[in-house]
Amino acid sequence: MAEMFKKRAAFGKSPKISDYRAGKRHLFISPLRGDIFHICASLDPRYICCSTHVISHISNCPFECTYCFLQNYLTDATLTVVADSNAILDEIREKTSRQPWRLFRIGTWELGDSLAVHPLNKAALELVEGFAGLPNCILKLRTKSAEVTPLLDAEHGGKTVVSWTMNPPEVIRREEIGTARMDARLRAMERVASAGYPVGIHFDPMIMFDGWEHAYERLVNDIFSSVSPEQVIWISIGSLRFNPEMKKKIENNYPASTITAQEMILGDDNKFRYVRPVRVQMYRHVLELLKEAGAGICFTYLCMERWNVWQEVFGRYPDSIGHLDFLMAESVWKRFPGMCSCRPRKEKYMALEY
Amino acid sequence: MQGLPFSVEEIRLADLLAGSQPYAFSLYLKKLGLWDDKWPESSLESCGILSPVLAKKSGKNPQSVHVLDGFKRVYWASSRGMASISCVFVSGSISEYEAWMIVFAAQKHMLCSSALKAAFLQHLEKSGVSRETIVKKFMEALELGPSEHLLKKYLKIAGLPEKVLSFCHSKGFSAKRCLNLSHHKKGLLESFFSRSHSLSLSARLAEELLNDINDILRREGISPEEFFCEPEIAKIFQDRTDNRIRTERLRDAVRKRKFPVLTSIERQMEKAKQRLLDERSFRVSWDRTLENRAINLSASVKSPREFMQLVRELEQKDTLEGIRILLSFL
Ligand code: SF4
Repeated sequence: MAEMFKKRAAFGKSPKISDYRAGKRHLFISPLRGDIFHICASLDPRYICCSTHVISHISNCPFECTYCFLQNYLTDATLTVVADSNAILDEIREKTSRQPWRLFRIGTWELGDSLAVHPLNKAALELVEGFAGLPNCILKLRTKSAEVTPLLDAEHGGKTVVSWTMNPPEVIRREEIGTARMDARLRAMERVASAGYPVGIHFDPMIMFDGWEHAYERLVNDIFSSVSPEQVIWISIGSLRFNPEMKKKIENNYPASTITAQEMILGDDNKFRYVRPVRVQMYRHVLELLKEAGAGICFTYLCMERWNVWQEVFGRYPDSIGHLDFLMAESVWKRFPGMCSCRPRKEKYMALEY
Repeated sequence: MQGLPFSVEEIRLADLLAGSQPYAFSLYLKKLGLWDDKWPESSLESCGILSPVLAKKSGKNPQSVHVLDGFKRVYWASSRGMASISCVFVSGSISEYEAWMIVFAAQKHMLCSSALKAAFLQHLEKSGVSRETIVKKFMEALELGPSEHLLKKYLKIAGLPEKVLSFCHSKGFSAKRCLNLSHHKKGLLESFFSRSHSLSLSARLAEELLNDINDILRREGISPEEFFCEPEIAKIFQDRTDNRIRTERLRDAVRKRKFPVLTSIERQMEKAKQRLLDERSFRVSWDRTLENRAINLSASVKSPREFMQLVRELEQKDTLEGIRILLSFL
């Protein structure tokens, strides 16, 4: 992958490529401009959201997932990485130190894949080592690649979670173009787990297709043959979603994909999703598989769903976004005590405003 | 005629009809079925051709005569077996822009819909009028913003099949609606709009049906004609009934196919509602997308007696059972 950029990496001024696909083939190393640390943009108070924080230092991605929202989002599509890791860490340190009692989960995948190309995982490496010294922060790397070698010898201090978006091989082949195959992702997962990193798993977006039940069953079994549930810090489950504009973009950019043609309804957040009974069936199925694989101990949550869907899937739901934030922190405290600087207090999280 | 800034000549109709006609936007309208044949027919029948056809001689080939305005007269004269027609010739040195401005002025009364504005802009583009002139002069004349981006959108609209363009024109669809239609494959548009005369369609409904049918085709891997020839769908078009009823039937059939889970749950909920909550003084509804778990009850009371009646109905066992069953689906 690094080869691809040898002649097309730029420094100084962004070439500002507007074409989404062309932008993926040009890497721009950017200095830090303005604030880069904020709460995840998908937060919507009508849905229960995990309220993760993000550093938007990566923009665009060399992969081509048919469902990727970036195709309808980026005005400058040049693949960009902010190289100034020290400045990023300073900003995080300054902002997170104002709430020392709070556990900040901080992702680097808002506008791209955390580890997709070599220059990205070099930047990731600097962040990994920097986070080892931030008491109330966890760095969340999320990827569909298998490029983890530089992370293996890093001094991560147990403060970085390396996560994978996981889908069955049928979905990877058809909808996650250019990403690592499932067996490569599993090998990479095994390697980072052996290097002491907690692993995160995201069954999100789950995609419906003929035979999905068996495919996800094989997937869960394969994952837990590679890592043990004790090494998995959290698991998220979510289903495919996109707004009406994105639907058109996907159909234009990937005419062979049929993901947008399924039985879907438009939610209050202006996003199409599978109809609720179908989503609930999918989520329950995965949850059941996780229990069977002994992964019931991992903190498992739904991504961007309403309380009634949580109720149907788990038989309970968090009272609020703050409550879910607390439950996640509490789970980390209990299962990975080295990652939290102090015991999370419910009333503090419940009082948070989003 | 000497001394006039233009010449008038009798031109053989056979020559006019045989040669290429680069300014024949009017003939395009004829192809779309948008020529109002009645009025020129009746006035021509009673008075004959009163005014000559406006034309331009081609600079490259002095023999070619390019009609700018008067195609209807040319066709009428030809249909009456006339051999020639009078033409007024504008100066051969006028620019393409000026020639098209004359065409524009002659057709302005037709250029009221987004669909025909798009078609006119496409004619300009195809005949080699520069983009800059189109954007700066013609888009303004058509009361559109002078924007290259907007021009691109209109040219996309102009790419719609002719049947669709004339339908959009007849319904006065906005540019946005036309553009939404242009997102669909030609095959689907042609199959659908070849049946549109049997339907009662608003822009919104046409869009909804096309979107849903498009999803069905992609999901099931079938062609538009295969879909429309399926017995259930074909029967809808064969049945002798009102267009509005036929449209509703098509809409139901498409909806059932696009949303099999949703429509089957809805049917069960409707049944439960009819069995347990029918003929009440309150109305029962719910979110048809099934996303929100809530039953809405609404009523209007005009007297304390009606209110007491409502309270009694709400307290009935059947009401509670009905609500319980409906909620179990949500
Ligand atoms: S890996 Fe993520 S950012 Fe990259 S194309 Fe896929 S969805 Fe988009």
